[in-house]
Parts: sequence; structure tokens; C-alpha cells
Amino acid sequence: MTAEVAPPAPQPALTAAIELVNAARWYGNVVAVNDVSFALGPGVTGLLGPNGAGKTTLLHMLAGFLAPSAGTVRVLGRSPHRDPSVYRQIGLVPEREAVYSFLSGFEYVRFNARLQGLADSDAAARRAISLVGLDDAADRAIGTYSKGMRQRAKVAGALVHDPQVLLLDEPFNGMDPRQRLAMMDLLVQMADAGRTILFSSHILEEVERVGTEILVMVSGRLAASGDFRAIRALMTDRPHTISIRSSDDRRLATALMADPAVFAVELKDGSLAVQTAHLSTFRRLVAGVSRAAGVRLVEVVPADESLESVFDYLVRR
Amino acid sequence: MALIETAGLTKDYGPVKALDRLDLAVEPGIIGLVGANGAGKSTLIKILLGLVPPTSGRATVLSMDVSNEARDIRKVVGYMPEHDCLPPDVGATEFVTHMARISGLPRTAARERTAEVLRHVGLYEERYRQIGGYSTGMKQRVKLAQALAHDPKLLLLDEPTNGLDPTGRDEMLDLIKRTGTGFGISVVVASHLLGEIEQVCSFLLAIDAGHLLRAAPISTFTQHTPVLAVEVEEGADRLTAALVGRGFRARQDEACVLLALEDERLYDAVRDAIADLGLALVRIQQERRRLEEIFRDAAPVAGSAP
Amino acid sequence: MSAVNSTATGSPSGSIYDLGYRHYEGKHLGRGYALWSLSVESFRSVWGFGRPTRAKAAPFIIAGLYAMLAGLQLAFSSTIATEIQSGYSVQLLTYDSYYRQFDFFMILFCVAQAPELVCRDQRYQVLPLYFTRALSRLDYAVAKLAALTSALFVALIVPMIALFVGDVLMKPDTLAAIGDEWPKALPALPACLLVAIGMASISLALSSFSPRRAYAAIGLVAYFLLMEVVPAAIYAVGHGGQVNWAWSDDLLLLAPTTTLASAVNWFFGTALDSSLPSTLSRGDFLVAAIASAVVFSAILLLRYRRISA
Repeated sequence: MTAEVAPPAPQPALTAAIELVNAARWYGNVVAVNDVSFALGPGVTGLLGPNGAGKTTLLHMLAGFLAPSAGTVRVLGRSPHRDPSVYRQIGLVPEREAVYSFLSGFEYVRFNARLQGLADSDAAARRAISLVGLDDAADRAIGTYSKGMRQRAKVAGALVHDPQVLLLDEPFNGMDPRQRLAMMDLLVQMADAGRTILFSSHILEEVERVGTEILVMVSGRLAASGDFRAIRALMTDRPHTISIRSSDDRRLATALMADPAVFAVELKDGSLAVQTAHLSTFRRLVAGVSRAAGVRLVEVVPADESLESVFDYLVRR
Repeated sequence: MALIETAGLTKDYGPVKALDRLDLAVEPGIIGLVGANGAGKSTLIKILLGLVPPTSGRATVLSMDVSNEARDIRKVVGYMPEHDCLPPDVGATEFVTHMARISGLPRTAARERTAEVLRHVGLYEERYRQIGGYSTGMKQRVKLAQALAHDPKLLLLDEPTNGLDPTGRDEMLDLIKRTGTGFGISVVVASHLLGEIEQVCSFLLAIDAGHLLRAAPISTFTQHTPVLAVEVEEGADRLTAALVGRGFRARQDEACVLLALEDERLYDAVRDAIADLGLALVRIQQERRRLEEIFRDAAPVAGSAP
Repeated sequence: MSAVNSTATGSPSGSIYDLGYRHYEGKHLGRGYALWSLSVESFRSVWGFGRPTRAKAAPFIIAGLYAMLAGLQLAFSSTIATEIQSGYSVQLLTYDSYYRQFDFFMILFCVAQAPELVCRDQRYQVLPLYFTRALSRLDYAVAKLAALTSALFVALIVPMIALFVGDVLMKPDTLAAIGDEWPKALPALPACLLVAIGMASISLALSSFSPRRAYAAIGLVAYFLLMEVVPAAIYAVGHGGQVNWAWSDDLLLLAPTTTLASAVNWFFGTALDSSLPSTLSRGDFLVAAIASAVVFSAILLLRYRRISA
């Protein structure tokens, strides 16, 4: 369903396409973004956090709508606030935005192209519409679109000027499974072509699918950044849990408990939950210990390495 | 007794056919309803609730016909719409009590049920404050509470985790699961998020372009495949070679070794090979199919997505 | 530790009570009860109950102002009585002319409260929650109409009661006065009912077309204003100078409050307002008032039958 149109290769990007240093934004007594610092380069990064954590405010600061109350925000080396030359390089898909429902999809995207001052707005609009797979419906009024289609129209509007940096606030909202997969593929494609993409989402399984880089915000502060697997490894105050199914759980449990790397084993219904503070050591010993105990390993699964688990830890800290 | 049955159910909106001779039958349980936007999910829900009359065909809910027993159906069905539907200037208790009374509960019973149901969905002191000040999670809970207040036999939930953050989603999904299994109420969950449907539902209804695409227990879509995936921190190539050497069919995929699971002895061979090579074992897992595969595989029907 | 939970043998005992979900085994009352519940809730919300305190301000103040002059008359009844006795003629407020004189306040009441009743549920999209319950769409509309009609009836009847009490107190022999006066006051009941349903049907029918209270209110103000002024203007033009447009007399039957006020005259058997043409009788106005109530009620029901939810 996505057109086979590869995004045109952009100009070479600076190492840090997005850079924040001690950025903050407050509204009276409410501090929406509090002392946030990070740098992002080409690729896809997921922006995660509970509702009200400041994700939307952060995206709006990056898009140039809001000036930071303190600290600096730089996109492609310049502050985006009220700088139309930087807007040219940024595409924003906001969460809530009423689009003029009387415009057709094509007209809306072309309108965006014209606002950006593109030379051939028609062609750019057609290309953007193809990228998001709205060719069939492009000439119908947006008012007749479903929620997912409206989202895609917004994404097309944000990409039409081929920006280096793409900011998306809950972009998959309302999209059905096929559309989500298509949109995820598109984001990965664009990131591979060298763009810097930051998108916020609550659907962690999907964020995991698109990439491993994340930024987690909690109550306005940046709780973690980077590859979530590396983040997990840093969570040393939290033992790793591995779930094992075997031919003789109890025997295996006893054998594992004998090893100092394991500090807890829980016998559950049909499986074992092993807790260890030394993940690598455990991983090296488990096969040998099972063999020595004469137990067959049927399933070994890390129980808390997922993004979901990492997120949960960071938010509850 | 079938929970929901339709026969030749059709709904036209002028030139657009929202439902096209839809035939389905589901048993009580927790049912996931998926479909592309515009595929007819919402139309189906509206017809089952009696909000919209079908153009032709029949539909029954708990053996009651939607065409002439709609009011009886509504007595035993609870509906949680996808969109915002709560007035901002009343408290949750008041609103849910009011709705319970409109469902036919006498005043005292309505008050008691409301208090109980709000407790079950996890609204405590907040229930006395005005709904306008609630977070998305709390609003979703109120929506669920008003659907449960009159003790329905069937709950129709349209995108119940919409707008919730990961923690909120987990809590809502947990609540739905408890409702479906513990409370003895059948639930139909319409959602775009296949992950949560896999997590919570036992049966799947997939609709596409007004037709039934699939109707089967979830387990048929998430079956084990005869492939064993073994992931090691490093040395996957050596592991692959070792297992091939022992006569098993193996293929390396980055840090993973994919093996054809034909024989139980494979498990022992894997364990032994890892122990011999001194490798760090990350994962041994039999691959499962995923729900989304039905959407990747099924070619979109021409002219379906409007 | 108390010995409350000890058994006869002395070992302590306790219980954990099941707080799990309980099914509702009680009765389900039907459609009639649902209709009644909604009507009562709506009636309460017209007066601002069940909402924050400031929601009570508008309806009570307006209804209070409407009743105020009757209240004054009541308060000063003894003074007025002496005036009458000593031969001074005093312009008193009467049952049949009260509404005509102070209809402005009732219009205000409708403009303030009718949008509250029907716009909120549309604006916040609560309608699907109602329509997927024991209630039918028409029941919903009927309940709202009943609620506003009752509320208006209460607002209209209070000054009538005040006038009655005032009249009675003005007479030297109170008990006999009650016996004499109440047949004179009785037509107030059906009259107020007609006025109530007449204004309620118009207000709700027009308000129901907009989910925004402000627009609905403006629409109502425009309707009540224009439909009074325009027929009167056409009538004036039609009877001024050389022209004599007899049909312009009938246009006055479209003016909402004029028609209702004149219908009130029918109930009391009193003469119509002198500004009205002689071609129109009290009966004409009565029929027009009833027809208007029927038509607008039908519009309201049709609106809710067809509204998408």
C-alpha cells in the first residue's frame, strides 16, 4: 500500500541534528519541561512518558512554537523559535490539530507545500501523498476521512517539504493495523535515508519495532535516554528475571540455587522464574548446570528485558 | 447459546456499503474485533446496539433480534464508546448513578451499584470531583463504569485504551481481563492494537470491507511454528556449525540460530552444544505466529479503505 | 486483643468477606421509569440542582424577578386594600394580564435554560449513552420537553398564587374571600400550562439544532424578538395610509408571546389587548397557540429521531 517511492536523499546532516542543553519551559508555577539535555542524530528515536510528562511541550519547543524559558534548544545548529528558515527543515505532526475539513487531502498537502515556499508544490504534494498511501482518497474532502486517514494526511503535510527533522506526536493514533505497519515502515525508511525522526507514542510494542533509541520523560524531566537495552543493563538495582521451562523444574531450581550467581528462584505453575544480579555469568552457566542436573531446557526467555519493562521501572522510580 | 449472530447483515449508506452480507457467530468469551478503518467495525457495533437499523439481513445478540427487541438487548448490554462522551461539570458518582437509573435501576440500587462499580474500576476519592478535571485514564474508567453499572451480560468496548499511557493501558487491559473472566461478563473489544488483543482476547473477529475476514480462536493465529530460536550473546556462528554437525537443520540470523524443530532431542543437543562451547545463552524459544500476520498476508480488497 | 473472635474452645477465628464483583439480582424497571428519571433529572438541572451553585443563579433570579411584582402586590396588599376602600383607584396586576406584561422574563428564562437542557448532551456527545439504554430517542425528547414545561409552569404559577393570596388578603373577610376568589383564579392553571408548553416547545425545538449553547441562545433570542417585531411591523404597514392588507392581521398569530398571552385571555374570558385587531378573536389565538405547541413539539421529536448518535 505504501508507494515504492524512496524518499530523496537529503543533504548531509550535522552530527547532532537536535540538541538541547538544560532546556526548560514553565507556565507560571507549572514546569512542563525541567532541565532537559540530550542530542539526537539521524535515525528514529521514541519519546516516551506518562500522560502529562511534557512530551508535547518538548516537541513544540523543537518545532519552534515555544521558546525555552531557560537553556537552549538547537535544531540543525540554530534555535527554531520564530525562525522560518529552520521551519523549512522541520516537519511536525501535532497530536491535536483540526485540519480544514473542506479541503481535499491533496489540497491540504499542497497548501502546506506552498506555505513552505516550494517551487513545484503540486509535484511535491503528489509525492508526499504517495508516500503515505493516500493516492486513492487524495481528491476527497478531509471531512470524509477516517481518523487514520486524517493522520496520514497530516504526516504527508509534514513531509511535503522534505524536512531533515521530523517530529511526530502520537502519529499512529486511530490507524488500523495495516496502516500502522505501513507508517512504521515509512519511518524506518526515512530514518535510513538520514533523517532525524522523533516520535512520541504510548504503544511500546510499536516503538520497539521501529528502533531501539528512546527518550523517557517523567514529570518534565528526562528520566533516561539511549538504547533501551543498554538502559536495562544500567538498571543494576533491579535483578534480571529469566523465565525457564524445563523437563524437571524443581530439580533445575535446586541446581540453579546452588550457584552464587542466582539469588532467587520462584517455582511457578509450569515454569521457573530465576532472578540474578549477574546476567552475563548466569547466561554462561545455565546450559552447563542443566546438563549436569540432567534436565532438558525447553524454553529460556528473559522476562523483563522488553521496552515495556524498562519503561515501567523508569516511571515508577 | 451464541453471543452474537448475524446472517446476511448489510448496511448501505448511499453508494458506500459499510457492511456487505456479513455472516458471523460468536460464543460467549472475550472477543477481539479488528478491522481496517472504514471496514465496518463501528457500523456493526451500532447495529448491534440498535443505534442504526440494518439495510437488510438479521442480527441477534444473546438470541434477541436487533430489529424488534433492541430495547431488551440494551438492558443487558453495556457500551463504552470510543469518543469522549462525558459531561465535564458533574462528578463521576452522579453521572454513573444517573445512567444506571436510565438503565432501569431503582434509585437506591443505582447508588449502590455505582459505588461498587466505581470501586471495581479503580476510582476512589476522585469520584466526587467533576469529570472535567479528570485525566484520560480516569475518564476511560468512568466510561467503563457506566457500561457496567446495570450489570450487563455483554460489554461492547470501542478502543478502550485510547489515549492511555502504557501504565494506564496495562491497568485497563487487566480490568478488561478480570471483567471477562472473573466477573462472568462477555466482552467484545474493538481495537487497532493487535498486541493488546493477543493479550486479552480469546477469540478474534476480523472484518474487512464489510465482510468477515477471519473468525477463529486467537490461538489459531498465535500457534507455535516448528522453528526453535536460540539466541546467544556471541558465537552464533559456532553454535550453528556445531548443531549442523550434529545433523540438525540450522540457519543463523545475526545473534540467533533458527532450527527446524523436528525432534525433541534437539533441545538436549542445543543445551549441550552451548555448554560445550561455553556460550552465554540469552534465549531458547519456539517461534509463534503473530496476529498481525493476517494483515500482512491478506491483500487489501480493492476499493476497501475509503 | 479482644476476645470477640474467639470460639468456644478459645482458638481465635476470623473471616474474610468477598468483595468481588456481585451481579445485580434486583429488578429492572422499564422504559417508563427511565423516562421519569430523565425528566426529573432534567427538571432539576433546569433549576441548577446537581450542578455547581452558580448554575442556580440564572433560573432563580429570573424566575424571582418574574414573580417579584406579584410578590410586591402581595406584600402591600393591606396598603392597597385601604387605598381601594378610601376610593382611590389603583392599577392592580391581574391574572390574565400578568404574563403579557412580564413575558420578557420568561423569554429570558427559556433563553438561559433551554440550551442547558439539550445542547450539553450534544456538545459532549453523551447521546449515544442515552440511546443505548432502556430509553428510546423519542422518550429522550419527551422527557426534556416535560422537564422544561414543568419548570416553566412552576415559574408561571408562583406569581399567580401570589396574586391570589394578595387578592384574598385584601378583602375584609378572608375565608369568604377564598371561596369567592378561587374560581376566578382557577383558569390560571390551564393557562399557565399552555404557556409553559408553548414556550418550552419552541425553545427546545430551536435549541436542539445546535450543540453550542451560545448559538442556541442567540437563535432563541432572535426568534422571540423577530417573530414579535416583524408581524407587528407588517401589520402596521398593512394598515397604515391607503393600504389595507387584511391578511397581515393573521400574521400576528405567528407571534409567540403575543399569541400565548392572548390565549390566556380566552381562559379567563377577558378581552384581548386593545392593540390587537378586531378580526382576531380569542379563539383564534387559542387555536394558534395549541397548533404552535404541537408543531414545535413535533419538530423536537423529529430532530431527535434523526440526530446521529
